[in-house]
Amino acid sequence: MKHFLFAFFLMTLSFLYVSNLVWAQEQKISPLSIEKFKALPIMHEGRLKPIETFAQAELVRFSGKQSFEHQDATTWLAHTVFDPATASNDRIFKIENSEIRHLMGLEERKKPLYAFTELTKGLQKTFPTVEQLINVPKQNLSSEQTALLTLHENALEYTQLLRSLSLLLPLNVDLPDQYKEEINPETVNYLVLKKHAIDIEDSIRNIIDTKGNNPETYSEKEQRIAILGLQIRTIESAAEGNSLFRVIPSPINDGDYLAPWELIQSGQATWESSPVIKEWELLAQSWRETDTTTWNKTTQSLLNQAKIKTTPELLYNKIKPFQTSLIFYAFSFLLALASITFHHKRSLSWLSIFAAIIAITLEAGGVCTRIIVLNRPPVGTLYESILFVGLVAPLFALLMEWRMKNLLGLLSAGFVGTTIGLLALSMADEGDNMKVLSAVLNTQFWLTTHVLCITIGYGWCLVTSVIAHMLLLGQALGRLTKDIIKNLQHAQNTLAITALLFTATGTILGGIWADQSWGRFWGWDPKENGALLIVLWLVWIIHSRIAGQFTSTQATMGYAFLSVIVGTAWIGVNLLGVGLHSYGFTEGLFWGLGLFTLLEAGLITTLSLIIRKKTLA
Amino acid sequence: MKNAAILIIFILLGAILTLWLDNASPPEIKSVPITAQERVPLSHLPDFEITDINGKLFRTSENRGEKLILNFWATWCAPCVVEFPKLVKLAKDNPEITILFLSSDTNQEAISRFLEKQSPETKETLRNKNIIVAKDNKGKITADIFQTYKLPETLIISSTGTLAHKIVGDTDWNGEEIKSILRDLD
Repeated sequence: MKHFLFAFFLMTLSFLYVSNLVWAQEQKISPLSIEKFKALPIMHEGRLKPIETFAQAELVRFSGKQSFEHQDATTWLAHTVFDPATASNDRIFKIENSEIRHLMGLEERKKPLYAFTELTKGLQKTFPTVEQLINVPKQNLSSEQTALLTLHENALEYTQLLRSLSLLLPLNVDLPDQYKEEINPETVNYLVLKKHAIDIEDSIRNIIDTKGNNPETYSEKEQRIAILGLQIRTIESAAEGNSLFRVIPSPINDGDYLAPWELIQSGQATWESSPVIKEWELLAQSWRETDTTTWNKTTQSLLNQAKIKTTPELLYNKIKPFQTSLIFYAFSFLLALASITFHHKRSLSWLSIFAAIIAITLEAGGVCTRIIVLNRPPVGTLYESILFVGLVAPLFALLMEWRMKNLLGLLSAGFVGTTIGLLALSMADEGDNMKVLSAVLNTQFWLTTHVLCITIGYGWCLVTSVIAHMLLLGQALGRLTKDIIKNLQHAQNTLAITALLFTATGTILGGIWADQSWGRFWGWDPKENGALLIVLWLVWIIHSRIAGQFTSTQATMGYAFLSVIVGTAWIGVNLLGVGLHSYGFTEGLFWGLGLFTLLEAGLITTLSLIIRKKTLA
Repeated sequence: MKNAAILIIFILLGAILTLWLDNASPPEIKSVPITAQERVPLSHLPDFEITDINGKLFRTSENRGEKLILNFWATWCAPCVVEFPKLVKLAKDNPEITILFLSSDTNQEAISRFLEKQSPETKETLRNKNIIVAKDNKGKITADIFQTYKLPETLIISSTGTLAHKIVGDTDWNGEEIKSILRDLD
C-alpha cells in the first residue's frame, strides 16, 4: 500500500505537469490576448481548423519551428496579416542549403534564417531558373534545385499571407485634393478607394484623351490621379487568386470559407459577409493600435459566428498528446528496467505502470481527438497508422504484463511505446498532419475495418517481436529462469497466433476494400504483397514450430525478426515508388530501415549463437 | 492444433464473405452533384432606402413579403447593358416580382440617356410599377451593404427576404433555368 501511495503521489505530479501544458498562460509578447483569435476557424487544405493550427503549419513550413523569437505561431501570424510592412522583416525563412544561400546572395549566419525583404533580390535573380525547373520531373531534380523550388513556393505562399488582408489595411497613398473631403487619408484602404475607382478611371480617361499617354506632360494634380489609378490596379492584380487566408464564411455555399480577396473578386459577397469583412477590418485596426477593448470584442463576435467549435483541436495542440506520451513511455521503460535491476522493487513497478497508463491514456485521447476533428476513422495515412500502433502495441504489452506479472510486459510496453513514439515524431515534421483523405480512402466502413485490423495486427506483431527479443537477450545473458523462459515462450506463441489472426483478417478485408474501391480483389500491389508477407512469415514460423521443424530458439528468432518484416510491409513498400500505396521515396526512411534490418539481423544472429554456445556447453 | 483449426476456419469464412460480396450488387457509382449544395439559412435582407430616377422613394422595409430581384449595374458596363432589356422583359413576364436596378453610375444623366436609347417596348415596360431604376450614391448600398465591386451582379430574394440565388455576370434571363428558379421562389 505504501509503494502504491508513493507511486500515486509521483503520478499526481505528472498529471499536474500535463495540466500545466493545458492551462498554462500564453507568453505575453503582445498586450492583446490571442486566446480567442487562435480559436477562429479557417479553411485550409480541405478542412476547417483553428487559426492556431494553420499558423503553426505555415510557420513550420517556412522556418521549421512552431514559434518565432519567443512568439507563438498565432502571434506571428497575426503580426504578418495585420501588419505586413514590418512583418516582412521577420527572419523566418530557413535556408539550410549553402549553395542556395550563395546563389541568393545571402550573408552567412550562425542560424540560416532570413527575412522576406532579404530574399526579394535573390528571388528575382533566380526566377528564370525556377521557370525552367518547374517543367522538370521531380525525380530528375538535384537537392539544390529542389531546395530552390521549395524556397520559391514558400516565398509565394508568404506573399499571399502578407497580402491576405491588404484590401482592409490602410494605404499610404497621396490622395488628389478632390477626394480629400470624402476620404479620410488616415484610414483609406482598397475597399474605400474602389468605391471611387470608376470616377478615378473616368478622370484618367479624360486626361489621356486631352494630353496623351506621356505622364510628363500631365499637371501635378493629373499625375496624382494617374498614380492613384495605377495603385488601385496594382493592389488588385497582386491579390488575384489569393485564396490562402480563408476566414470568411461563404454566404453562398454552406460550410465553405473564403479568403477576403476571393470573396470580393469572385462576387460571392452578400449583405451577410459585409459585417464579417468589417469586423476583420476592425480586428486589423485594433491589432495595430493595440486597442484591447475592440480586439476582445471583435474576436469574441467572430468566434460567436463560427460554424464549428475548434476547442478539441486547440486542446490537442496544447497537450501535444503524442509527444507528451513519449516522455511517459520512456519514463515507464526506465522505471521498469530499474525495477528489474533492483529485484522487482514494488514502488518502481507501480510507478512504471502508472507512467504507462498515463502514456496510453494520452495516446488514446490524441487518437479520439483526431477522430472527432477529422470526423473519420483514426487511420488513413502512414503517419496515423504509426500513431495507432503506438497506442495499441503498448496496450497489448500491458495486457501481457497483466497475465505474466514478471515486468517484461511492462518493459515491452515502455520500449515499444518509446520506439514508435520516436518514429512518429520523426514523421511529424510537416506541422499540421491532420490530412483530408482522397475520396477512395475516405470510404468509412472498409477503411475502418481493413486498416484498423491490419494496424492492430502490426501492433501484435511488434509486441511479439519485443517479447522474442527479450527471450533471446535473457537466454543469452543467462538472466532468465526456466519458468520465465517457458512463460515467455508461451506468451510469444499466443501473441503470434493473435497477430496472425489480425493480419490475415486485415489482408482479406483489404482485398474486399480494394474490390469495392478499385474493382479487383488482389492486384499484387507492393502493399498487398507486404501484408501477405507478414501472414506467410507468421504461418511459416507457427507451422514449423508446431510441426517440430524449428526448435524453440529458432522460432523465437523468427518471431524476433517480425520487426523487420513489419517494418518492410508497413513502411518499406511505400518507398518503392510504385503501386497504389506509394507515398514517394524518402531517403532518410530508406537508410533508416536498411540500417534497422542489418542491426536486427546482426543482433538476432549474435544472440542465437551465444544461446547455442551456452546450450552446447 | 486447436489454434490452427481456428485459423483455417477463419480464413474459410473470410473467403466465403469475399465471394458473397463479390457476387453481390455491383458497386454503386455516385454521380458528382451538379446542383448547389444545401444552402445556409440566411439572415434577412437588411433595410435600406433609395430614391429612384423619378424621385420616388423605395424602402425594402415597405416591400417585405414581395419577391425582389436586385440588379447591380452601370451604363458603362457592357454585360450590364446587354442584360438590361432582358431583365426588363423578365419584369414584364413576372409582375409579382419587383426588379430594382441599382446603378453605380456617378452621373444620373448617363442613366437617363441610356434609358432613352432603349427600344419602345422596353421603354413602355419601364413604366411598370414593379421596375425601379435608381442611382446608388457613392456605393453606399452596392459596396457598403452588398460589397459588390464587379458588375453586373444580381440577387434573387424570396418574399421572406432571404437570398435564393446570386448571379455574377450576365445570364440568360429568359432561359429555362431562371424560369425554374423563379417558379420555386417562395
